[in-house]
Amino acid sequence: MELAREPTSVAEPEVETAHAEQFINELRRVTEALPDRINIDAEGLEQGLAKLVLTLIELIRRLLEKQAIRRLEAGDLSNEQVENLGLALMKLEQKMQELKGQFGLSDEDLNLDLGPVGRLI
Amino acid sequence: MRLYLYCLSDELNADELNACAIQSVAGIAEAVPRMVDLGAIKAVVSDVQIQQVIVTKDNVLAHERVIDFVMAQTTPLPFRFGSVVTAAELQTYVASNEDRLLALLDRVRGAVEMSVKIIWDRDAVRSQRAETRSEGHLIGDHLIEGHLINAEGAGPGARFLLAKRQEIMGERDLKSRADEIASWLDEGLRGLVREKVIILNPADALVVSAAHLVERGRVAEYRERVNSLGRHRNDLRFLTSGAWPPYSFTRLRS
Repeated sequence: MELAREPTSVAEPEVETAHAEQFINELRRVTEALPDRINIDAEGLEQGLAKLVLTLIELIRRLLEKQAIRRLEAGDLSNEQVENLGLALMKLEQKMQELKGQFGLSDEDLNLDLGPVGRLI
Repeated sequence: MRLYLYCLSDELNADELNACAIQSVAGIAEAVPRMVDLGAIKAVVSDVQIQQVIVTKDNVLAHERVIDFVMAQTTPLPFRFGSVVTAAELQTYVASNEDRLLALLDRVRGAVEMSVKIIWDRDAVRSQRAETRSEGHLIGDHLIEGHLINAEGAGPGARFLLAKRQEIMGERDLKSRADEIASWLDEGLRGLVREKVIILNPADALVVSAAHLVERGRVAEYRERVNSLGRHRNDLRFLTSGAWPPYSFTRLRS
């Protein structure tokens, strides 16, 4: 089999932009947001598990909010139901804020980067 | 002894490659890369004593250096950084995936990966969209008809839901604008791109990350076309890069 000989000039990667600093900052931010490996010490493990569990709860909470808005937009809720649903979701959001505070987590910590799929939330 | 994997190809000749310049290209831990003949497919590898290769600047550059050497001659299927296996594992992997690997090699043959990243001013986009919506529309006639007259007259629960609705509408607007940008880029590069992988992140400043599979002979034309498109959009910031190995179109795992 012969070694394929194709043009070699394109093999030299080039980067072109008039806004290098902005792209570097943005790419650095994205890279730093990638999930770290879980550290297997008592404190690190607890923090890692809390992050995982709260991420799942946050995802479900946001889905509930979207579902509530869809029902609201469909106009099939009474005033009382709207009020009750809103209060329940408001309390859930407040509770999540408390839990995030207790574990020292921010909104960004719960927004996992799933690589090619994009961000979780 | 284990093997560090760089890439696979069906167009390299083992004798010729091992005998020539690849031996002057330092691989991971300065090891000399070599080719393993696995029948229709050849693997470019180097020997390592460890099971896991640490991410360091030197190691990443060594990985890219070897793949770039192969890229100068043909388009391989690149392994992701850090793929370490035994010789038997490599043989089993290639044998059990041969048809799929050959199809992937056909898919990327004669092409390279080019990348376009686009940054937008998300806050400006968001406020432009908010201005185009009237207050009445924000509350939503169909939403409140027969139930709530306005947000001020509603209880805290209903006001919370209305505020959430505005937030969600804002997210939908951003998604729609991001889709528009992706479609515009697509249209602008029509005829130049063999395949594409687009990642949209409307919530981020880096809104579009596009990978394009482009014929080797059309890379200069591609760059010029992207530059030309960029000149027409002062609201967006562009970064073009490549040619890269076709990582986005192969996704090999060891």
